[in-house]
Amino acid sequence: MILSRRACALCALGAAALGAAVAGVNVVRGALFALAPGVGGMLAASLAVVILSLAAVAPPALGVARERAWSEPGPVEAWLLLVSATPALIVGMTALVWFVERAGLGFSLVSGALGLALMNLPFAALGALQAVRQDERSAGTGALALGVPEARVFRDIVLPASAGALARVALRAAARAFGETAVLMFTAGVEPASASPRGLMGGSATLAVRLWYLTSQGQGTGAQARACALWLTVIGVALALAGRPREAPVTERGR
Amino acid sequence: MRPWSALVVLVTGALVATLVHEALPALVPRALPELWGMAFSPPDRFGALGPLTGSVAVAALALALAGPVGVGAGIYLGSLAQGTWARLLSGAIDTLTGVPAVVVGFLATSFLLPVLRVVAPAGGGYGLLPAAVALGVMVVPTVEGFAADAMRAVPADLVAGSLALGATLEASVLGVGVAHARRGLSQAVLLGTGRALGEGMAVEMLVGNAPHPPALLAPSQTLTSVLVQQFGLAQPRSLWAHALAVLGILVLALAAGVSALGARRA
Amino acid sequence: MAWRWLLAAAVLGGLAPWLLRSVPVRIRVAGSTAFLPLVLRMVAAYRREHPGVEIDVTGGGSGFALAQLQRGVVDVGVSDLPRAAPRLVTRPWARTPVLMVVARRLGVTAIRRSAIRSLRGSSRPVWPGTRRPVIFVERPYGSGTQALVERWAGPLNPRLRPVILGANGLVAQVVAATAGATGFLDASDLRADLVPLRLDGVTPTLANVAAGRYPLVLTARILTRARPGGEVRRLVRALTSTRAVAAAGRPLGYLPP
Repeated sequence: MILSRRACALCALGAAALGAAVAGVNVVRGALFALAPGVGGMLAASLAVVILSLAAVAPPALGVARERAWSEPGPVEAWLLLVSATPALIVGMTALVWFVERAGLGFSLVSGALGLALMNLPFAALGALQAVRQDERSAGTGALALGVPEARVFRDIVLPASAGALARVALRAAARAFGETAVLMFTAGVEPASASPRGLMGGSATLAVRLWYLTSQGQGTGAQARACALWLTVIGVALALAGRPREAPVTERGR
Repeated sequence: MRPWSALVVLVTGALVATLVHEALPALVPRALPELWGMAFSPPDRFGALGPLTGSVAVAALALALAGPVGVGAGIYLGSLAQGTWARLLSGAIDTLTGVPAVVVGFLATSFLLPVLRVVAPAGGGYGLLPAAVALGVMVVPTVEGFAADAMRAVPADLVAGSLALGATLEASVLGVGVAHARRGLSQAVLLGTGRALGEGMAVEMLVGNAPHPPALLAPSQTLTSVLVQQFGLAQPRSLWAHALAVLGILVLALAAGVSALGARRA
Repeated sequence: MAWRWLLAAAVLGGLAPWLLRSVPVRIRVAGSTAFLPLVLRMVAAYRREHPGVEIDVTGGGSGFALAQLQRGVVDVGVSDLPRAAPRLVTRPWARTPVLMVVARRLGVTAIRRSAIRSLRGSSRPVWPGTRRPVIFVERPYGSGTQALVERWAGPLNPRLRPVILGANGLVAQVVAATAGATGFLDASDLRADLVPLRLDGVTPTLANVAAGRYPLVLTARILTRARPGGEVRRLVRALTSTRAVAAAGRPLGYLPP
């Protein structure tokens, strides 16, 4: 049995998350239309791509964390550190070729979310590794010494103990994705979604892309641009503050 | 290497490989007639030197503005700061971290460009200067974070020794602590530079994007501003598209190279 | 253990494009920003008549539309570039005047083609009757407006350093803020603090364009890949109907070809 029950559960969970995101898009679009026309839809699109991209990046990041929690930092960490400096713009160019063109997903929120996941992959993997190492490595090592299998130690001891740190990594990844423009302008388009009802397969500007587009069209003084800037700042700052690392390790701040 | 690690390394490696693959046809000798020209101006002039100079200049200028602020804040927060003021300053810098680049660019176009337009009407206010100011604001948190880390890594005994010899706290921190953390502080500046070199959106909004040699207050090009403007426009598999991928490789090499230099032993 | 997860992920990933593609027909339209208002108006009307069809409209510019048509990402493109496009089918669509504008406070209201040509060719151009230098605000390669202007008014002296902006809206902003600046844009980006110049004595109105008197007219074409699918063909047929373009275009400042 290659597809275990847990794999099936994961698929079901993924489908549920997809459904929730689609439903969320419509609810939020309705509720937040008031501030400036079209802004509610773009806010919903921003949140949808951020949630989808986090869902896509979590399994590999946690997978790397589990595999390397008890190893000394080596070439994998060095490589991740090197590629974590890849400018978002470069990721966007690659995402255009991979997802929009080759995979045939077109300019869509799905392409955008995959692009954001690609951008956050090295950052999230490194962050998850640091989180599990700094918190519960010693307790886990004790359990390992007692002969408990590695996978169980990771699931039952390390994960619960480092949940807080992991959540903060996720929040910082969300903050990066939420304010990102370069990746999304090549993958999700620049027009707001209010023009027609559409789901995740449709293109829609997120707040950040729309703000860039309006400013570069010479319409940066309009109500829509200001509303975009306001939402971006409020939510971006909230995510960054909520995800700020506790005490000592400030290493990732601002990255 | 185990599966997830292998997957992540493979995917990130494929990203670099895709870029190189896109650039390949432009990398054969004499494929790009003006590769070392000063103007990247399709359909026939693909000079990379102008945008490259622009990128380096704008990053250097940004760090000249943000470096002292970031390092200063880092030294203060990493060693001297205590109590309410420290929390306020650190909170302010964390807040700055959360402001998206595009908002910084938007604010600069709304408030900085109109002022510069009065100073230099012929260039419309665009140029390396406004772009560098916006970049500077964006990299302050990066520099501050790494500088503070470097200061925290200074052994307490060193500063205590200096205090025991009768030096004031400030003198001990600035004299002994900073001297010890010198390497870490310069690495903080390098990591900030790496980030500034790769940033595209805010720069594109402010730099003016004209294929002229870089200037402080006249429209200029950087590698990233060219890519933001033109990558979606180039016909696939045209010389233009390949030339843009070459610029992409330059950006990646610069940003990752400088960051790697900064991350070494940091 | 982890291999099993990876396999599941790979299967899901492999199926995803297929699963997602079975979503209802979606036609993607992109193109010239100068004609975007007309595209949006006509597509909105088409949507009302064909409620089952999903249509995405995005600007991006003519160059963007051509490139993405060839990539297969866009189904219908609107281009005002004279440039030929290999393997794409072209249909004439709509026209609009291009305005040469200056800031209202500059006080200039008319200019002749010969005067513009000599200003653009000069290395130190000065507005006639004043000592104020001319600042040229241009559009980048890939803009249909820029191609038209260069054909009609001649190339700029290579020793000049023009401001080059990515959109007509920005041109309006910078020209309005800078006395002495001049640029070219379409009617939808005109603002109250700008004056559209009479060219060779002709005011830029739709009547003058229709009569063939106004010299600077931008022509847009609709492009698709060869042999488009049924839904795309139906949309293109509706968009290119001369009657529909005339009806929707007039209030917005566009004429049929």
